[in-house]
Amino acid sequence: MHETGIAAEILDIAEREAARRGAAGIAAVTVRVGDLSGVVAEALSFAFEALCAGTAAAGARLHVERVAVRARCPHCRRESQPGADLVLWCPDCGQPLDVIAGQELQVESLELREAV
Amino acid sequence: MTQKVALNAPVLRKNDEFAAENRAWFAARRWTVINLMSGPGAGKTTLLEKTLPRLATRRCAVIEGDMQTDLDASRIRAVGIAAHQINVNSCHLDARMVGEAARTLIAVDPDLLFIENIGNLVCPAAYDLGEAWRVTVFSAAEGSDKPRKYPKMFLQSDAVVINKIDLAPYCDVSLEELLESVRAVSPRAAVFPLSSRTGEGLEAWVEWVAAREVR
Repeated sequence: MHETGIAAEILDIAEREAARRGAAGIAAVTVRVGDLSGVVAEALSFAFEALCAGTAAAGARLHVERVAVRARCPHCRRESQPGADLVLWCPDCGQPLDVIAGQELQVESLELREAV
Repeated sequence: MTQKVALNAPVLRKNDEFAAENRAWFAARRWTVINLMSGPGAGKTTLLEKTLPRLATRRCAVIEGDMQTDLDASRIRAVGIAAHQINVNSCHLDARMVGEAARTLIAVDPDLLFIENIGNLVCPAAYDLGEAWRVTVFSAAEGSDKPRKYPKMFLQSDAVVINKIDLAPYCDVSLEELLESVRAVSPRAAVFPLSSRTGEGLEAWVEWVAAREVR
């Protein structure tokens, strides 16, 4: 899908934050990517590396933390990890489940090089 | 020396900001906006061609998204409805594109605006456009396993249209299995099995659409 566009947004967020803090450069970026986000980690890393060349983030590492899908029953409050078949119904009370994790797409943190 | 900085910033925050602007702009004008998403060829445009003439109580308009051509906008205009075509080499529409397109429809002032997203069962689901309602159109010919393979669009939708049910027997697709698959990943959505071609099941869908308001 659109990993290059996503990588460009990540780089933009990182560059703005680095500039705001007067950092000398960006050493690493950690992102949280939900299993339901549709983002492929390998494609994201590849695009990120290519886009970083010649920027303040040149050579920066991209850490991708996958977030598994979790759901909660609004009725019995039981939390579960829907299996590979992804059935979003509570096995106990037959209610539709709320997806509470797995859709994340966030820049969690940055590792900035301090200006000397 | 390096310094670690916590951010917790949504990657698509720029899009989210444009979407919030769109939502406020639509609400101020009382435009009810429906984002219609599907894989390519599921039948979004044909569904609109059959739906729009039945919405006599509403003043409709359509924003069409495609990589190339204005074929879809022409088809919508052919049934007497205003349409704006977006052509963009992208796998999805984003909120900025939609905001610009919406401004070309100010003179029409629709109270029901459809956004026909770019045909893609994955990417459009990640982009909030500022719509009030999300609908996934899925065709029976795509097979009963796809909703669970590509769940994100389904689980975010207020309604799921299962189109081309007349083709199911020719594609060895069990409608029962397909319905089960859709319900598994979109447990709260209104589900409308129908055929735009034969008109079967269209009425319930049209009633649902006709009742949509800003929310």
